[in-house]
Amino acid sequence: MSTGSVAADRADAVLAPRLRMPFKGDGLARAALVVLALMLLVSVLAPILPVGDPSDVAVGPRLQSLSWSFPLGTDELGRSQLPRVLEGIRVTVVLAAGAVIVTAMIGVVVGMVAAYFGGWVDEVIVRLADVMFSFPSILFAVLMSAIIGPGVTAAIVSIIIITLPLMIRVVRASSLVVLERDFILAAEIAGASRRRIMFVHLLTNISGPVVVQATYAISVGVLVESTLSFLGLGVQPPGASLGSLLKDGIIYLPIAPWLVFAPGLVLALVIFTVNLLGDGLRDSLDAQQARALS
Amino acid sequence: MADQDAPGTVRLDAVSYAYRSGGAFSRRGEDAVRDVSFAVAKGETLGLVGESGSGKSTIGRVALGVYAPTRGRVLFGGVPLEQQRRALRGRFQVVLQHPEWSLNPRLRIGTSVAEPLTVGKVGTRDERRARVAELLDLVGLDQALARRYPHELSGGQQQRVAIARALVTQPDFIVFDEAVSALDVSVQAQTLNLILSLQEAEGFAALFISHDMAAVRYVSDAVVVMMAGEVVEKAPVQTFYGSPSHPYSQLLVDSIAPEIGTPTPTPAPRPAG
Amino acid sequence: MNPLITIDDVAVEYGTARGAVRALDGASAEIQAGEIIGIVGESGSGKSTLGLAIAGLLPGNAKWLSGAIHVGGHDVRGHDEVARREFRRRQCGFIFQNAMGALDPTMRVHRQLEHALDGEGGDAAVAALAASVGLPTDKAVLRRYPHEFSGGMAQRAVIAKAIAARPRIVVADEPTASLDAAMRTQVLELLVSLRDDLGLTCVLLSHDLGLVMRYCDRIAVMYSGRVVEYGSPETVLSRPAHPYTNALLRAAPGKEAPGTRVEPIPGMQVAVRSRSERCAFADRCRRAEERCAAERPEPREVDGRQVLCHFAEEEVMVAHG
Repeated sequence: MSTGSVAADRADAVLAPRLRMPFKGDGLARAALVVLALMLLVSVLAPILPVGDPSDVAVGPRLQSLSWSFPLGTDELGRSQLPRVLEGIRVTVVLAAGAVIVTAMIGVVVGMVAAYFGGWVDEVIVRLADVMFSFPSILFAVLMSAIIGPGVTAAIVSIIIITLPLMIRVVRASSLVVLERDFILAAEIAGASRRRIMFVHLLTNISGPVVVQATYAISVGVLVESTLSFLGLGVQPPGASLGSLLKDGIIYLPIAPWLVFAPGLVLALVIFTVNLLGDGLRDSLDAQQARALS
Repeated sequence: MADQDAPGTVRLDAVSYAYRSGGAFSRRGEDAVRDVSFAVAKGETLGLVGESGSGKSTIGRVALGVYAPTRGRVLFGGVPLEQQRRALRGRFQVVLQHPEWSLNPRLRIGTSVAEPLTVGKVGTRDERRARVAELLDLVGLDQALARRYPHELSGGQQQRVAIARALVTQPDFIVFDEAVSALDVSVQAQTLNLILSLQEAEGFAALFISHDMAAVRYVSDAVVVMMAGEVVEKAPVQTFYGSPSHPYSQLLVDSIAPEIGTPTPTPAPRPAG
Repeated sequence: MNPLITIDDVAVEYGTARGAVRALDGASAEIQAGEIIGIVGESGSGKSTLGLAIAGLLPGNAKWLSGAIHVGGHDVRGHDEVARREFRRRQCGFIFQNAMGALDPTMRVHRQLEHALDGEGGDAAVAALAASVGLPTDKAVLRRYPHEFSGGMAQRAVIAKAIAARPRIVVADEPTASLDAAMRTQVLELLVSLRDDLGLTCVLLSHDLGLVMRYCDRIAVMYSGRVVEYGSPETVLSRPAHPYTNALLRAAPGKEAPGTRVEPIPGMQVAVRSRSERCAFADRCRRAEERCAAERPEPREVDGRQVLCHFAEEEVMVAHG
């Protein structure tokens, strides 16, 4: 059995790997976390910070470049871009995160059911997920907004449906592994109901992979929302999301490039940091397992 | 053996079991175990030995009612298991091989030990907590461990927790499936002695499954030897301290460490020096 | 005759999240060429660490604190990474406990054996290697994947990989732990025959006293990072001079008279965090006295074996059986 004198630590890591922040030793992930946290913090606090109001028109000259009074310039209505971009971050991230939370809830239940019941239930769920997965995502999102009508709802529904298949797969795969473990059998013999086995024993042990997958899903969600809004099918004016800001600014690109670069760079940064965060979480999970099993 | 269907006796009657090879609707494969019959009385330990692939773990699962036999039946107190499913909830328990996997790593020890009570909705929260404390005491663990997580305990301690959990409902029948195989020698000794004392005190019937002949002989009243899915010998344990009848049994007994003090015949000439 | 492997007062530490743990605290032994030596110990004894150290396979977070291991005159630490890898192939092979885990599940066994041979000798060499470990030489069989092999065959494949480059030494970490009795015998007899035919020196890590008794030329009992007793199995297991060896024999079922109890060893083996200035077994020892808690025992020769105990002479007199 145990072949090392540091069995306790290893057991800890392989049996209950915890997603460790702030990523001891993983400089990139730590940097990503800091940058992302800062962006979110500032965007959430924006209403009380002296950055201006995103909807105030004509506070300054129209289409003016970056200046001290308008750090991100102004748009064609004379609105300061700084508060608009900050609002954009807020809207985009909250929308994506909110959708992914729903995805996680649905995905966890469906994935666990597929793994636990097996048989035809599993087959059906897996096939359905495969079908959903094979839809081209942006096309699907456009279709959604055509059906439901453009707006935040369409964006949320699209994100959920686009990120659900992978979440189901991840949950199902992790559940299959956990279900092999002795404590599941012991619980069954002790008389635990199926519900208890799934929601107490299974759920507590798949949380790691679910969080990692959810993080990646948020980055997908951000991209989907931005694309929809860029096409005019997502967040509608006067609301500002990073995608809609891109849409608003693109016609002025030759004369006011900051209107595109600011939200564009911020969007790229958000997606980048969220992905790095996901990588860091996943590596932290993997590293603990690898160390323990070596 | 005494009356095979006395109250508290678990009996397997010509049990066969074949695994399904694929998904839910696939056919059954070959028999993993064939025509197995034996009985374990209240307060008695039956050792089940055989090498890997002999089917002993399968029999353990069937005896617990986890698998329904393909042929034959399992009776408790003379009544087939299917007819008393509800009544038997929590009356049969198991202790498995790997201490680190037999407890949910995300739950505290106290929660895990209380589980059989919690699912059976037995007693109030406080009563359950008291019973957990009682059990931890019984297996020789500090009650403070109830608040800890499994990874904070050693393998031997984890196995004791698994035993405490198995006892918490005062079960009639416990299956020990390679329960000491993964433990160090001295911890194994402690655990085997614990099983012996607990059985004396609590009076459960026990099926002790192992490939370790020495451990089986130590805790059992009688031994069943399996080979390739079938029973090849059934005898009271004294026979296994002396001379078993089946050649395969003899082989297993021989695998127990030779007498200390007798020089072993060497398998090959040893180099000088 | 000069020993092939000398382990000289080796101390190795692991850095863990909870601080440093001293896996080896001054372990010493000498292994002659062509011997099968069994290293026996429970978890925490350091036997795995010692096996890994001999094979040059200590993980990254292990730190050599003192002492040295010399194989054929060469210090196992003194190499750079390239030299160490060569060492591992040519001088010392390693057989892992979990056979299936040690084989690449995505590569056919035949190819894995080819790799182990460095591609030299082609199919003929692979067949010869397979034959030497008792695997079928039929290429069709060897071209299967590891999961299609039985446990015993997989373990033989692992052994084949370990000896492919004809190393002088092989370290085997519980090579038969997951095998049944028949397989166990075959694998161990294979190791014995490799010793006889190739002069292979084998370091066998095991928790099974019976196995070690039967197959080893010498046995080293480890406790808390040190070799507490070292000699031939007959000497050490019939007339143990160290109270821990004695305690192990009393705790193992198998030789008790019907109806009597085995005696577990009170207490637990704890990891040491710094050089132990006392006898590590003192707290659990039946014959411990003040001296044991105050003075670190050094290896001495008592009744034909090496032992680390202040009271070895008295211990060896205790009648056993």
